[in-house]
Amino acid sequence: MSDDLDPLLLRAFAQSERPLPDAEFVARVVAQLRPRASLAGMAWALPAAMAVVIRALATGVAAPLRLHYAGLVALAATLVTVWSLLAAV
Amino acid sequence: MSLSRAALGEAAEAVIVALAMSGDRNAFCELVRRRQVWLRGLLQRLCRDPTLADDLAQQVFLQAWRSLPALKSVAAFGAWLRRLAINTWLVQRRSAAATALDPLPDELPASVMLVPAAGERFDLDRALAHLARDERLCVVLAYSEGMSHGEISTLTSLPLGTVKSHIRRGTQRLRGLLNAYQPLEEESYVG
Repeated sequence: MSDDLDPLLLRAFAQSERPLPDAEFVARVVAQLRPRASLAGMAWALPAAMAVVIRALATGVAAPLRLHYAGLVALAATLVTVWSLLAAV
Repeated sequence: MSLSRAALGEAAEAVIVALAMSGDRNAFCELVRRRQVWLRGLLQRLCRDPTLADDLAQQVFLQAWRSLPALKSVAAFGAWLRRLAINTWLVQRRSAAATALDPLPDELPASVMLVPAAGERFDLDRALAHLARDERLCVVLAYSEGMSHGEISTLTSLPLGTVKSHIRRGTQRLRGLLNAYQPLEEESYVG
């Protein structure tokens, strides 16, 4: 506190502090506390859950492309698929 | 994670606030226990009526419980709670003023003089009722909460110059009222 205040009033404020009965007040507040609304919780959780799902999908899709011979593997897979289709016909 | 009541009683406030933010009801109850005397005292200074002050304090705590996840820093809990309390008081004042024809019971017109009865001690809360709303708010925040003029200006959104003049004028008026009691108090000490 950097501002000058009247010392007599400061003393008057300090002396006028009164003890307040607390048990009843606390009980009254506690009795009215409800679990936080689940919608609010969902609002927090939903974006996080969506982010996790999207990230997992992206990781799964991108994983083969990170392989050293990804192009070769993809080509082989395509050839196997085409050959299977032709064989089936 | 939830702590026992004994552990909560000994834990640092920052820890309890963090637990309460995560939805721990017991942790919030501990915050109510720790902060209620201060908060009720502040509101009693502002609105003079102890019953109304307790009702407002209750509203503030319930609002705090609902809004706690939005708190940006656990260290700012006290200041955040004070801001909630002052906003709650201001909203109550506005709605009461909108419906009242006479001056509100917690605000006396300047023309009404506070004349102490013989032997009566200085009643600070009664004297505060002689100040206008913003004057009282600034005086209480400065003298009771120990806030600087700059902090009060930030909290109340009043210009710094206005805060200073409110505190200067409020101090003068309270000193005038206090002086009216001084001779009586000195006499009682002598006698």
